[in-house]
Amino acid sequence: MNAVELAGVTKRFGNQTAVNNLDLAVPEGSIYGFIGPNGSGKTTTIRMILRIFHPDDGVVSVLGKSSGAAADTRLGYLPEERGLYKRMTVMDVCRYYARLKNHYDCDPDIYDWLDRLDAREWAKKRIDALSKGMAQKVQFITSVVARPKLLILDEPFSGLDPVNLEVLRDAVLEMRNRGTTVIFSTHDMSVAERLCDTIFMIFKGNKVLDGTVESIKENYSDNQVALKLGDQAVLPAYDMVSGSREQDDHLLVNLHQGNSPQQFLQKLLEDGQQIHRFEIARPSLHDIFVSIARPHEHMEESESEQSAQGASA
Amino acid sequence: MRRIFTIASREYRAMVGTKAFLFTIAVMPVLMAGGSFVPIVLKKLENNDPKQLVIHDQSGEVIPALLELAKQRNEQLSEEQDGAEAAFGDSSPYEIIAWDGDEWNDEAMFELSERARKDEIHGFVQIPADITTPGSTSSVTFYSEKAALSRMRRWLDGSLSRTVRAMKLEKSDVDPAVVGLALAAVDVNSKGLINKSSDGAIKEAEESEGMSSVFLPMGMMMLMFLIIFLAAQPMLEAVMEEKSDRIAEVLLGSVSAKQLLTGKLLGNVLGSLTVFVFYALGGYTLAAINGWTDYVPFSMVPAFVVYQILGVLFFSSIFMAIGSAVKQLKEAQSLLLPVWMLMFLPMFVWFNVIQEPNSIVPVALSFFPPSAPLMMILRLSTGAVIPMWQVLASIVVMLIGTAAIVLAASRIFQVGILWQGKTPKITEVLKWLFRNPMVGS
Repeated sequence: MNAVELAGVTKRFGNQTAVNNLDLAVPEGSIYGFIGPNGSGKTTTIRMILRIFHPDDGVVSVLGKSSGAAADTRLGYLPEERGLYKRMTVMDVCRYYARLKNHYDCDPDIYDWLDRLDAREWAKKRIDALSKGMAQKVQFITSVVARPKLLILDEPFSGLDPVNLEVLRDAVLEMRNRGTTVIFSTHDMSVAERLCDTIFMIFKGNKVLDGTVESIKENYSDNQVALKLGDQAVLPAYDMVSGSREQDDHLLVNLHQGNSPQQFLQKLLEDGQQIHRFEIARPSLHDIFVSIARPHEHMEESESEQSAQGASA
Repeated sequence: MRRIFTIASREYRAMVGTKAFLFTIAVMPVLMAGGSFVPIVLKKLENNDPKQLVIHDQSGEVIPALLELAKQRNEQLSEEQDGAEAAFGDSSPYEIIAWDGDEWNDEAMFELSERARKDEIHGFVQIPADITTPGSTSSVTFYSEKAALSRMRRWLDGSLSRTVRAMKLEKSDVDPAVVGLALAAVDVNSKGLINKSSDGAIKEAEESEGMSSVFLPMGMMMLMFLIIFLAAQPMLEAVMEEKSDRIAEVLLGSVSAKQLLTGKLLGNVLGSLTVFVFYALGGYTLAAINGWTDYVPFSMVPAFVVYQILGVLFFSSIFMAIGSAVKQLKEAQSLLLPVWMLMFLPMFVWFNVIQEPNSIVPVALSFFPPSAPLMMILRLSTGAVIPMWQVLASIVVMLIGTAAIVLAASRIFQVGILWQGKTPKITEVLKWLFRNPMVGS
């Protein structure tokens, strides 16, 4: 059973296609990570799930209800960083958001969460008197206090210190254990890798990754090698290399799609390179994200430079 | 429905539950009425030292009368010191000094001028010898630094005229008292129209006074403006906060844009009614203390409340739409200016309206929704007979106009509140009236 299903969903704003023919299935009770660079279509997709936007084409089904239905009180949402009235007190803002979700007898739940997140003493403080970390905790409480079936978190851990990050991470896991489906959008690949059962990556409105972290890594394991050469400076001369970065005493080298590590090794040997280490690496989510997004960024930069030159000419 | 009340309740508390709001409703009337008190305050700060006037009375007949008139004025002045009359008149005592030099010539006049320049005297006066001769057309000359604007000169003008006229009449063997009565101005009393009481008896017409014919209409119009302003302005700021802090996304994840807008407007209207109750009770208490309860227009309360609700809905909707479409207050202000100008229209013509409340301009502005609340309240509070069809038609026009504006504002609000990136152009915003890019094709 899926908590969220998108089938052939397209959303356009004027001439721009924000989301293109997107298919997605978020299983109930899972933690589903949305990743993608800024402007890739994550927020538009989330807003369609929240019913704030409606698709131009396709069907968005959330907790068994299809597109066109009214906002669903079974959803909890935490927008990135903001989302709270600065002049309200912590209790008042929590009560307000709970009541908007039809949860009127909410005080016990609010106090329970305040205790759990070590924020009880802030109950009567105004939001604008809170630190960023504390406000983030309050925001989290507002999104979970009405006991949602589906919880959507947009960068829930941004700006948190490691201690508070762990506290909120545990809270997310607890929500999942209670049966809540969690979708969370993040730029922090290490968090996504550690927390998510399934990862979905959207890029320029198109789905480019969808699967468990393990399966994604498996698919991309052919594209990266750990390499240490006698002369590392020769690396840029190899066309099959799409990028590299230093790690400890060696380089992690990404290969363009269609080039296998075996072909690359053969080429190095043919050229007589001194090889100290050559190992097929298992890429991190970060590497996979960069390998997908970076070639396009270079292309975009090059295109924008050309168009700027054209305009000035 | 319950969630709409939840939103309305928060909006209401956000509007009336702040110290800033309480401060504003207390201070605004003071600021608006403050202009009336400025002359009094300034007057208190003025120099009220006695003013000396040297008089060279070549006739020798006039100066005793002037000395007596100055004495009477000074005695009267000390009794009226704190009155409003004193605020706009000259509160310095006047001292009349008879010139006692040897020879009245240019040199003597120059000497007196020098004394005036040194502020030793206010000025000096030359009264010709034949001033009291019947048939004489001689004039008196008043010398002072600011002779034309001198309030002492105006007093002398009146005092001399009366004194010299009486002396000329006496010399012509005519009794000044008889002439005074013959030339006395005829009083025309202003009264309202005749009414019948509930038992059918004719009621005597009431005196028409400045209080009911000028201050009451102006006060009621200003009250309407104040209430609409106090309701609409916070809506702009609240919507801008909800947009910039992405609160709107959370709200719209729970309720529809229409529910959100309805709840906000409901809370806003309730807040404005609270302001009305506050001012109504305050105004009545003030009237009771001063014995002005006869002037309290109880019969206007229903019309006032109806126009207030419609006016608040009308302007708050516009403010919400503008707040949702812009990113900064600066951008909002440029869009608000024309809206305020439309609302201000009755204020530009209010004095003409209280004189002729049924002339073409007031009637026309009563059917123009942005100006109808202020204009109709202004007209109704003049006490003039406003045809019932005009009141009803104005309310119907206002209802239709408000419904149209609320609908248009809700369409702009639904898109604008989620609009990120650069501020849209006006033409783009107007397109949202016909197509919502957020809901899909």
